[in-house]
Amino acid sequence: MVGVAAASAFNEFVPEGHRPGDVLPGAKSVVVAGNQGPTAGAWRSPDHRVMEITGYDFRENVAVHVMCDYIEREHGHRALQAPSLPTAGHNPPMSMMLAAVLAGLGTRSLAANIILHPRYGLLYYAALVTTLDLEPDHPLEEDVCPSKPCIRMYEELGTTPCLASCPKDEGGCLDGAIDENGRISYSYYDRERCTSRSMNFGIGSIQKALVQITTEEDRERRKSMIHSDFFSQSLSSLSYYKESVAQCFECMRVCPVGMHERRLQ
Amino acid sequence: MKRGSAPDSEPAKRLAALAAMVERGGALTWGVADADAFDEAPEGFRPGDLLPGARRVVVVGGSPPRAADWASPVHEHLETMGTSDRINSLGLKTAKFIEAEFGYYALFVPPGVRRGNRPFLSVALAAELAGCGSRSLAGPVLHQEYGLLFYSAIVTTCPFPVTPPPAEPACPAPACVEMWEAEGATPCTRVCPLGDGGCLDGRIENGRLVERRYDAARCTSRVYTHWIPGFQKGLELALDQEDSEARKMVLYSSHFTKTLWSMTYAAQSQGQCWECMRVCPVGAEYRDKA
Repeated sequence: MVGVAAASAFNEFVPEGHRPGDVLPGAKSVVVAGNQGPTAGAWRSPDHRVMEITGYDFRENVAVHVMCDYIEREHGHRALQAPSLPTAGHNPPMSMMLAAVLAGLGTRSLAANIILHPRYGLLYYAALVTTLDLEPDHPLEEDVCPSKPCIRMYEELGTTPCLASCPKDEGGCLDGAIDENGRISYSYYDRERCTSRSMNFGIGSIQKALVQITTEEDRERRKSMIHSDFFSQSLSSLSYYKESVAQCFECMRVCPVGMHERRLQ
Repeated sequence: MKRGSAPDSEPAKRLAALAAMVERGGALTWGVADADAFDEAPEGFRPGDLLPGARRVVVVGGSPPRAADWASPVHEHLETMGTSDRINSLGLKTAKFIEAEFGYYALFVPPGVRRGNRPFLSVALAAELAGCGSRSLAGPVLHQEYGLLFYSAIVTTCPFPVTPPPAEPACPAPACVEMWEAEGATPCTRVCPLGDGGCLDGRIENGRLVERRYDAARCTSRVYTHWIPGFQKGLELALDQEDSEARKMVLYSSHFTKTLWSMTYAAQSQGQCWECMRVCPVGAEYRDKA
């Protein structure tokens, strides 16, 4: 999926320093690409590690580069990939979630604020910033979340599939409420807890392991920690194979939005 | 479509569409294996363990080092092999194509390893069963024409027709059979003899490979002197240093730096020993250009 947001549309929502014009002077438009990520087959696998390994799924980045090349070559305007990885703390220079919302590709959900596309549900997003003035799309008029089955479930049980799969009060990450108009009236997301579960391998686990390894006095124990499966997997997750990028998909597994797209023969 | 003469049935049309897509995507070879044929793989490492209801495993092969890579006198250059990355990208693209075009589940087999340094599914076995090539004395599955290729596998519920194995195994090549009969060795076993500190040994009878011995652990320690095992070894060495200056030297050394390059996006130094493949006559003409 592809959508376009006006660069100026970000001003209302994010502080200076996090707007398209801060990344590219004279920015006029932001083009957002959404990609499905893991295949339906990967979602269906009983081996949870298959879903962990999604690095090759990030094709939206490739799509963005192809579009950047096209804009610079064919239209003579500047275009660059919007920086989306954190540069300080958890904060990226530009929010891909906001970009997706402003480009009309989806709306925020009860499930960790993930932006849900009305047809495909969870998508991975990348964006480009360009000086090319493109006609923008607009945010969706209807909320994708909560979906009708979730509203019914909430009315009957006081919860939704995602909230039930990871409830804040039972050691999970999510909480929320739906008002009488069927809209999200409150949502809570414990990002730190979620990160520690969905990123068991990766940069965080390397840092954690290195603290343990470098403070271990016993040489043999240190050796076994360095050569352990856990540390090897953590290193793999950093490597170019892009293994184990994320490990927990449970709130999305039960989400009805886009579920039909994952049902095949 | 390079192989098979399937009738004008729906599965055959799907296979033709698949072939067109993967060949457009750069595959030098492709094939389809029956998911039930993976008997020799242990339980937990078969197609059905990854995808319930799996019927087939599609294999795409290609992106080998180029002739110029082989010709370079700078040995570090051949180590710089990010080429295998391209076949993995094609593998994922193929999985997406199967789901989008035919409506069947398709799972791209991750190229990394599961626990204990073991792959999720043996892509080499998949390539062999899909008829892309045959096992060799040197280890890699050799394609009849191109020799060494990189492979990617996709497990699917789509009942594509299974492609047949090659009529003749690629290894041993006629030249190797001749050498074996004259000298009791082949180019690959000569270059890396198990009995002389190397990794390979085997036996040929009546022009066929009947026995193969391969020291995987020794080979791994030579092929992966950089990358993740190199990082672990370097880190262990650094932390074992009592002296902080010595530790600093290890961490900033060329070896450790190169190891970090190899692990990260640059994908350098993925493999460091290619000697058994360098002397292999199968596909040699593709490694030798003007």
